[in-house]
Order: sequence, then C-alpha cells, then structure tokens
Amino acid sequence: MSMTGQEMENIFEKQNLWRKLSLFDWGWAGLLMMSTAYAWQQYSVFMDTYEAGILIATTLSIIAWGWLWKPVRAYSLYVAVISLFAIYLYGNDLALGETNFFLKFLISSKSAIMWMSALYVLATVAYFIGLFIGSEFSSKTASAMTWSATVMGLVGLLVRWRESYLIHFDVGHIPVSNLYEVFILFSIITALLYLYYEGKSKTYNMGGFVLLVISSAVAFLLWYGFGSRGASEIQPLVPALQSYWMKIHVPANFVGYGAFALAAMLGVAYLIKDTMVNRGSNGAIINRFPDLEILDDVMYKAIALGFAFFTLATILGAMWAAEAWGGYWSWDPKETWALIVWLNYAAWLHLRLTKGWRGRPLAWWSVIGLFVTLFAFIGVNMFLSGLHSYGEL
Amino acid sequence: MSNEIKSDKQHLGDIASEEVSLQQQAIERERSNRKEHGLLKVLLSFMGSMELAISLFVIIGIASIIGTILQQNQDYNTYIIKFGPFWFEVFRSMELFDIYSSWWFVLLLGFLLASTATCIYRYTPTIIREWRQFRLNISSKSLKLMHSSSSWSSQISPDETAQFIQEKLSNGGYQSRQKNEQGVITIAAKKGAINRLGYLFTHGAIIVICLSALYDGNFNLKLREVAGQLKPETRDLFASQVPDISRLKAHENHAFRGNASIPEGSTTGLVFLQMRNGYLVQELPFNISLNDFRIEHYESGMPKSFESDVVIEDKETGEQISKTIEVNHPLIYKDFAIYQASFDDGGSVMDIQAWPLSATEQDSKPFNIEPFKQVVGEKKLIQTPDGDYKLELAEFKKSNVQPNPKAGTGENERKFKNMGPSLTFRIRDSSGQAQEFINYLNPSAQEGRFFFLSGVRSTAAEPFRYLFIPADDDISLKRFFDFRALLSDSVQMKRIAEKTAAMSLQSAGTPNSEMVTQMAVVMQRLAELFNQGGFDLVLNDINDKVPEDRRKEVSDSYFKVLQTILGTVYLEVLQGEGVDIENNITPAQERYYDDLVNTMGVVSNYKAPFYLQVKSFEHKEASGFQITKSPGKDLVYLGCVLLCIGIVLMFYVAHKRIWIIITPAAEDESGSHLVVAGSGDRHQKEFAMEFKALSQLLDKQFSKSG
Ligand code: HEM
Repeated sequence: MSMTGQEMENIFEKQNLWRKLSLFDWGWAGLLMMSTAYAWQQYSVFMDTYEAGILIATTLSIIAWGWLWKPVRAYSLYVAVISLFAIYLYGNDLALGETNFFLKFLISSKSAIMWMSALYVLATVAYFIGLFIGSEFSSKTASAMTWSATVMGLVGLLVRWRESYLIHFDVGHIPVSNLYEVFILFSIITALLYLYYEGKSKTYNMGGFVLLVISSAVAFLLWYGFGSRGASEIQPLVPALQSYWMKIHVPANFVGYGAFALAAMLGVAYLIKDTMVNRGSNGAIINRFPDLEILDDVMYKAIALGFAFFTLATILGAMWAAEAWGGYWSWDPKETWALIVWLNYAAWLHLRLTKGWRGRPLAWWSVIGLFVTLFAFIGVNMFLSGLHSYGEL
Repeated sequence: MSNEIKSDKQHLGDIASEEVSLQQQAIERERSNRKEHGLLKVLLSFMGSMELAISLFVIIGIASIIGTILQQNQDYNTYIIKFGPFWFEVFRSMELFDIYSSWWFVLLLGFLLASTATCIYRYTPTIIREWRQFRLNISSKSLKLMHSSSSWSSQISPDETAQFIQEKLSNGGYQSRQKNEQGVITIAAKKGAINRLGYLFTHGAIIVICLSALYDGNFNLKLREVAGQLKPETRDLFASQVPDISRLKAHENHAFRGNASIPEGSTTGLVFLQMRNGYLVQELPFNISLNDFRIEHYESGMPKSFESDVVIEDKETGEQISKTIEVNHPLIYKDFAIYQASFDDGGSVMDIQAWPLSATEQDSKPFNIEPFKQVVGEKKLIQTPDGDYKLELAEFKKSNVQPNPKAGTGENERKFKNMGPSLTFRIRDSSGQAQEFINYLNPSAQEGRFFFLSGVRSTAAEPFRYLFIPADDDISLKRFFDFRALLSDSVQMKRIAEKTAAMSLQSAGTPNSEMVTQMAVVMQRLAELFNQGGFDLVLNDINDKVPEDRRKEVSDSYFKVLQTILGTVYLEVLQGEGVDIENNITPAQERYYDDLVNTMGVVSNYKAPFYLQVKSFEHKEASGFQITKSPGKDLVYLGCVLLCIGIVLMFYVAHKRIWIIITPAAEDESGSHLVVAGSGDRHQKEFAMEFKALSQLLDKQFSKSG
C-alpha cells in the first residue's frame, strides 16, 4: 500500500473516513458479510459461543484488512472461488480426490500444496534473476508467482479443512494441528507480509532473500510431509487440541514467526549490501539492492509487528493452557522457548528504541534471532519433550 | 538515563538541540525535586539502566534454555544415572533440576521487577508531561533546526493565518494550542501523544504479570521448607501415612497445583503437590468422588475424548455438585479449578493362571501354581523350583488398535484391527534383574490358525520379541503346556522312549533288546535337549561330540529319531484329551503339531520361569485430575491486556508534533510570516510524508519563503 502525495494531501482536508472507500470496497465487505451469514445459517448448530465470536471477528478483520491493503480483496476472492470449486467437486466423496481431474491435478489439498511449493521455488529463482540481471519483467513475474503460490497455499489449507470433515465428522478440524500444516501456514504468512512491504516500498529486490526462507520451508515441507513419514495424512486431534483456542493461538503465532523470518532475511540483504558498499564495490547488482535505510526500516517494522503478534499469541497460549493443562504457565519447553524468543526481540526493540542502535548490529541480531525462532518452532519438537509433544519429528 | 535520551535524540538528529536540553532540564528538575542523594542516585541509575535490563533479558533467557535442555523435576535416580554422583550433587546444589523455582531464578525475576519499577518511577513524570504538554515555549530558531521545517509568507493577517492553519491541523487529527505574545502567534500541535503512555502500560504490565505469577507459584512453600516447617516426602506412601511435616491443611496454602488419581467409585479429599523429587499432601476443603470415567477412541485407537462424572462435596457445608469434566472443560468450584488431566488404571483385577516353563529341573515334579488374582500395579512373590520371582503387573490395556497390515488388499479389510486386551508385566529374579513381557489375552489369527502372543524384552529401549503359542482345538493353551509337561517328566519320557524305540525298531525288523534300550536312551536324551534348548541345542550337542565328517549323517538320523519321539509324545497328549488317535486325527491337529514343534524350538529364548495367562479380568479405570488454586490468574490476564494495549500504543500510534510560529510582516504590510516545523519521534518516515502533504497545502495558500 503506497500513499501518493495526492492521497496524503487529503489528510489535512475536511473529510469523511468512509468516503475513502470505493464501491468495490463496500461490495467486497457486503459479499463477506453475506458469506458469513450463510455460513452461520448452515453451521451455527455446530458452533459454541466462542467459535461464533471467532467467525465474526474473522470476517471483520478480513474486511478491515482488505480496506487497509487493497490487494487482499482480490486475493481472498481468488482463494474463495477456487476453494469453493474444490469443495463443490468433492461433494461428499473424498475418493473423488483420486479420480476427478481437477482435484487430482490441481486443487485437492495435496495438489494445491504441490503447486504452491513449485511456484514459491520458481519465484525465488525469478526474483534472483531479476536482481542479478536487472530484469523488471523477471521481478514482476516472480511477484505474480508469489501471489499465485500464496493463493494455492491458502486454497490447500482450506480444502484440507474440508477434507478432514469428509474423512469423518469427528476427525474434522482446522488444519493448523501438526508441523506439515503449520509449515504451509508459515510459508503463506511470510509471503503475505513480504508482499505487503513489496507493494508498499515498490521494490522487488528484497524478494529473492525472503523467498529463500520460504523455499527452505517448502523443502522441509516436502521432505517431512511427503517423505516416508507420511505427515501429510490428515490425523484426528488428541483431546487437548480440540478447542477453539487453536483457531486463534496458532495463526497468531505464525504471524510472529513469519514476521521474524522476514526481518531476518532483510537483515541478510542489509549485511550483504552494507559489506559490499564498505568494500567500495559499486556494481549494478549492489546498486539494485534496496536502500540500506529502507531495509533497516522495514526490518524494524517487521519485528515490531512480529513482536506484537507473538506477544498476543503467547498470551492466548497461556489462556489456553489455563484451560487445558491446569495452569497458565508450566515452563513446558515450547512455552519457555516462546519466552526466550520474546525476550530476544524485546531486547532488540529496546536497543533500537532507547539506545538508538541501527544498521549492522541489529541486522546481525535479527539474523541470529531467526535461529532462536527456528529452534522454538521446530527444534523444540525435534529435541525436547513436553506437553506440546504433538507434531514430533 | 539522560545520556541515553541524548544519544537517542542525537542519533535521530531530528529534534533541535534546544529541545533536548529542554527535556534534560525537565529531568534535572525532576531529580532535584526528589532530592536524590549520592548512593540512592547511583543505585537508581544502576537499577534503571538499559544495560541491566538487556543483561537480565539475556541471563533469564539462558537460564530458561538450560531448563528446557535439562529435563526438570525428574526422579533423582534418573539424574544420578545420567550424570554420575558428582555432577548430580553439583547440579542439585545449584537447583538445576528445578530451575524455575530456584532461589536464583526468582532473584533474577526480582531484579527484572526492580529494574522495571525503577524505570517507571524515574520516567513517569517526564512521560506524563510529554503526553499532556503542548510545548508552546519554542523559538523559531529551534524550529528551523528541525529536519522537517519550512517557511512561508502569507497575505493575510497572523490571526487569520493561525485560524486557517489550526483548522487544517484539526482536520489532520492534531490537537493544538496557541499563544500570542506581542503579536507573535505560536501554535503547538500534537497527535498520538498517547503513544508515550505505551511505555507505562508495557512496563507496568511486566510488573503486574511477574508479581501475580510469583504469587501463584510455590515460592512460599520453599520458604517454609527453609524454615523447617515443611519437608517434602520422598517415600512411596499411602496418603494417610504421610507425616504431618509433609502435609498442608485445606486453608493453609493460598495457591497450588496438585494431582489426584481417583479410581472409579472412589473418593478423595486431597491432592499431591510435586516438589522436586518428593511431594506434599495438600488437603482440600471438599471431597471429589468419581462416579464414572469414559474414554472414547477414534478408529485408529487414538483417544478421542475422556471425561469424568464427578461429585464435589463441600467438607464444611456438605453441599454437593455433580458435573462432568472433560479435557479443555474444567470444573471451576469456588477458587479451585479441577481439570481432566490423564487416566490410569484404577486397580483392575487380573485372574491369572501361571503355566510352568522351566525345563531345567527334569527330575523334580513340575511345580504347580494355583490360579490367583492380582491387582494391576501390585507385586507378588512367586516361588518356583528355579528360585523366587517377583511378578509386577505394570499396565493393563483394554484394547490395542493397530494399523492393519492387510489394509487395502481386500474390499472389507479395515484400516485398523483391534488386538484386544493386553497385560504388561515384569518378572524380576532374586538378583533384581527383570524382563518385561506383554501378553495379549485373546489369541490372534495368523493364516487361519490361532496363536497366543507374548512379547519379551530386557530393557524398555528394545522392541518386544514375540513368542507365538499355538491355540488348541478349544482355543486354549492347555495342549501346549500338557505337551511341555510331559516332555519334562523324565519318568513318563523313559516309558515313552522305550515304547517308541521298540516300535520303530520293530518296524525296521530287528527287535534286539539291547538296541532298544540304547535307542531309548538316545531318544530320551534328544528329547531332553530339545526341551531345554530346541533344535539349536541338539545341533550344538552333535557338533560337540561328533567329528565333522560324520555330522551330517548323524544329525540326519538324530533328527529323524527326535521327530519320532516328539510325535509319540504328541499322540499321547492327544490321547489324554480323548482324541481317537488311531482313526480320527484332524488336519488341524496335524498342523498344530508343526506349530507346536516350531514354538518349542524357540521357547528357550523366552526367558521366563512361567507363562502367564490372564483368564479373565475386572477392568477398573482411574481418572487423573489436576486441581489448582491460582488467585493471581486474573491479575496476570489484566497485565496481559495492559501489555497488549501498551505495545499497540508504542508501535502503532505515531507521536507527531507540529509547531507554527507566525510573525506579523513588517508594519506597513498586512501579511504575515510563518515558520512551520515538526517531528515524528519514532515515526519519522510517516511524519515526513505528512509534512509534505501539509507543505503542499500551504504552498497553495501561501508563498514559500525559503
Ligand atoms: C513488554 C515488553 C517491553 C517493551 C515492549 C518495552 C519497551 C520499551 C521502550 C519502547 C522503551 C523506551 C521508552 C521510551 O524512551 O519511550 C523502554 C525503555 C526501557 N525498558 Fe522496556 N519494554 C519492555 C519490557 C521491559 C522490561 C521487562 C524491562 C525490565 C528490565 C524493561 C526495561 C527498560 C528500561 C531500563 C528502559 C529504559 C528506560 C529509560 O531510559 O528511562 N523493559 N522499554
């Protein structure tokens, strides 16, 4: 989202907040509300108060999100149309996933995820080509592919949600319950955060770096989900996970993780550029890197955003723990690592805000922060045991 | 502190030097007001320093990491085995096995609190002032030094200009104040000043959260332990036997987290609080009775839900409440929360028959154990001719669902199959060595025949190795053990060996009594070897005694002889069952013989003095509850809300200030001259854009003047 000088001028003119919204904005909001009403009418019998609250809050947040960042409107429409088409094709027969052409090759959950994976990897390559040879076309293609991958990723998750109910009503649950599923979530959230800043700063040259971390996630996803472990199979939920809290706690966490990952990759770009500039190199590639100041600023914004969501997620987690495990804080390894991640970024923010640190040291810190975050994300499941022991490697 | 602010502002390079000194003045004034003296001043500036805060973040982080790597609150023996006695002692004295409630960790948290509190104390007055004040005392010189600064000249009077600008500022969401000194109008405007309160909210939240969480923790118990008023019990006792020094009365403890396991149909009025390697008994002001426990499974055997029907009875008033508790749906009773935490065996009773397996005592009569009953979780001494053994029943499972290896091969094959109930137990010999076994109660089908499965292993790390005992015509173990008993009975075996030897020599046509005796001896010996160690032992024996060139020949004839006598023994067993062996041996009985011989061949690897058969069982479950009292919880949540609000204020409300100084143009003209400047504090980019927008607007109205 970029504000031109023209739009900005309005800030000091008498104006009505609502007038900034176009007809399309209103139509889109109306559509969302109608869909929500339909969902409510169909499924309210299965929802408790909290779930109804989550449904409504989700609708309102998506509306606000789309108003603040316009591309979200088109994005959610694509996702909705494709997902609904897949759900329509499935009907009540999960087996169609193996026989129906569209489902089998395009939009069953697994196929959609495969498309997502392929597109992210291609986009990474295209972003780097764009950076190295300075091809605007390549960069724009990369951006389009990232958008498409992100559409397919969310479609994959939504269709998987439906598929879980087709297996059996009792098995149905939101697909954020194991490492395979949250890796998809991580990829699309990181991509969306990146795309937001890409649109805002109108530069494509950070893309390769950010997509690198997404591609790594995709590599892990393919190895973990489709390797010998078969983690891509839908599993029913253990009793502790059967709660509405999962719907808010997990996504909030992944906005945090995604933002921290984004910040770390910008840190990498910053360090490369800064090092090259200090060495006096003045090549075309280095000049195509975004300004150090922009990198620094977006890195800060990403960490601030990540910190806000991560704080919220940790609090929600504590509240859930108070309901499921009998205590809001048990020093379970996952909890403890969340605290470590939180302390790490709290220190980062303090150094920036009160000590006025900028640039290199903080870029290094955010790169190291990614490793701390990664450990909290997968290392804990891999090496430590605890109450969060679902989704073990 | 003042240095920090200065370095920050200097770095930002955004605010005129005069302004910094203004702020510094404010801080200085604050200090002298409070009359801080030498030592206190040093202490305050140490406690409130950023260096201390960051160090605490890092140290607490590292301590927390240690706590996740070193598993907390395990049994002390586990640690001794892992680290050896020396390091165990070192780690224990550093309280590394219970880091999060160790004195030094709590001390660190205390420092964090003190440091945060100091910051709040020192910074609050300035924050409040920054939030409320408009700062009308600013000179046009300092405005010109700001990053975003411009001047215009206007045709209209200062008053009209001021009015125009104030309207625009208010459209832009700014609050403003103006001051008129000798015709010079100063307008100070600000927006998002509430941002400054974010600091108070976040830091205040940390204090609220830490204090309330500390209040909910068990630090008070540790203090009482140090004072010698409490001592965690480390022995495995019944709750009623636990001495008073390890007990807490119902109202003695303001906060706790304890566990209780209640068998179906039982009642308890206390919980166990774990403390390091021991526990305390905490009495409750109410009794909980478990009426029913239900567990549901998915098709895959994974638990889908578990829930308990409980009745709470207040010990004082006798008031009763019935409720069902589920995972994620605790029961809140007064200040207590009761959670469904786990489930357990509540003392299921096994009706057991032990079949002797010993093959070493050929001459003594096989021992006989009367069928007995034993409760899961308990131990029993069993005397055998091989010595005394302790039988420990570890776990009873009512069902065992496993993936079906045949899934997908036929239309009706289900993905999972249920192996039925199983009992896990250990048999410990007099030296303390134990083997672990798992016996499936129901026979399972393999290629159309039924076998009883029993797994054995020496350590929990190994997989089970399974013994398949064929089930006889009545789907029982009887025939197998009859066969085994007969084979172990040397008197009977002598008779059978002689009979068989005579018969087989007769059919060969050379009845010679010496040969018959010789052959009978060989037969009996082979059968004995086979009984003790299967075909392997027989082979070993041949390898030991026969020169290599004759081995094959000898072993061929030995195996033939062995088969003959085993066949005869089998026929006698069948005869004992009442089977008409002359005319009516069924194909199943023939196949049974092959399975029997195969199993007998490996049974010596099944290192047990007896085979344990569960003939029937009475299943009883226990429900595991976690019962907590955490009076600080709501305060923690309040702190969390403050924290979230603070973060939003601090990061997402941009604090911006704009100043305008309007001076009348030279006397003869009617116009005015204005200097406009501002700063965006931490949101300079956004402010720069806003300033640009304002400039564009003013450009339309006025003319730029450098
Ligand atoms: C929720 C977590 C926290 C956040 C978001 C946060 C944020 C901040 C911010 C933005 C400042 C700069 C204040 C300003 O100049 O306006 C600050 C200052 C400071 N914070 Fe925190 N803080 C947090 C927790 C803590 C904790 C737990 C401590 C404990 C030691 C702490 C210690 C300090 C100190 C010492 C300063 C410097 C104050 C001064 O210069 O007067 N903060 N913090």
